[in-house]
Amino acid sequence: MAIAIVAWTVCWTSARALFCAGFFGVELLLIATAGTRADRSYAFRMFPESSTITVHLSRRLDGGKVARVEGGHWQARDCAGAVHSFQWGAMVRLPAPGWLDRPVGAPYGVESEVERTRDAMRWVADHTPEDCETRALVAQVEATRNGRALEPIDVEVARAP
Amino acid sequence: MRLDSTLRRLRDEEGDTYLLALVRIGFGLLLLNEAWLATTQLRDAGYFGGYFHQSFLPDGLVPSVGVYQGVLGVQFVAAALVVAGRAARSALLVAAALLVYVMLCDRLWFHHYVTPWRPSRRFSPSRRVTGNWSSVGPCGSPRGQSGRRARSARRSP
Repeated sequence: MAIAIVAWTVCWTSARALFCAGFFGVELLLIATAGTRADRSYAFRMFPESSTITVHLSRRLDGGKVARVEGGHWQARDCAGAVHSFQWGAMVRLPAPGWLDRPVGAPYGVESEVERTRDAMRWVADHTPEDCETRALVAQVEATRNGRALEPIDVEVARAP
Repeated sequence: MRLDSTLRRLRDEEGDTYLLALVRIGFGLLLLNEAWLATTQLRDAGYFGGYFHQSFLPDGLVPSVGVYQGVLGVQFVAAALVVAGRAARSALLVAAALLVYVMLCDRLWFHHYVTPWRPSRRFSPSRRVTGNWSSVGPCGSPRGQSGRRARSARRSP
């Protein structure tokens, strides 16, 4: 009721009414559709999920061969043949899934964290031009939702040619 | 109609502004804290644009490190003006607009329920994620995230 009174007062003048109607309309729409977004953004979740994900990262090389990324670290050659080192944790930091091969919390839900992982993989793929060997980043995500193990989720992000 | 007149009376009511000043100072201090947290993040973890971040804006609209430092400086000044009561309304608007802008540039550091499209941010600072997300708490939540700001967890693994 108090919120309604405040809102009504702010929206009192006709000059503001249109803006306020649009504003509150957009807010309501965002809240109502929060469930359709993977990260549930714009919706308040009083109790976070007791969920985790564990990301196992690999690289798909020429010929389809898959090389496991151990310890979040890998080496690859650039197009001139020079060797470069890459560290996942330096490019992806918490609260994004900055650690590989060990559980990280997913308080906003497994889907949200998997989407973050996919976004992070895309960012890494786009920001490692020195890596001329990797054709795609591949991740297998082990997830638990509220303590129960889920089917592993496969994520693959191809690098731009 | 009675509701209408009641609302009008509430809107036009006059009284002592002492309480309003306390609220303004409180928000100013919260905005100062917000600027301080962002500065700590910049100092400890480095410029957010240098590693993975989730932006609503195209890369061209994400500030460079120099511009971002300027944004933080303006946030400090605006918060101080709010506390001091000098040009407080404008300062609140500037501080809120910059917060929204920073959220649009990297929403990773803000809780999901923060709504960037909220002009009422002019009156309320946002909440920045500061819990240690690597350390999963009993309910899957980051330790120290239970409504209280915790030690910043921006360390590379």
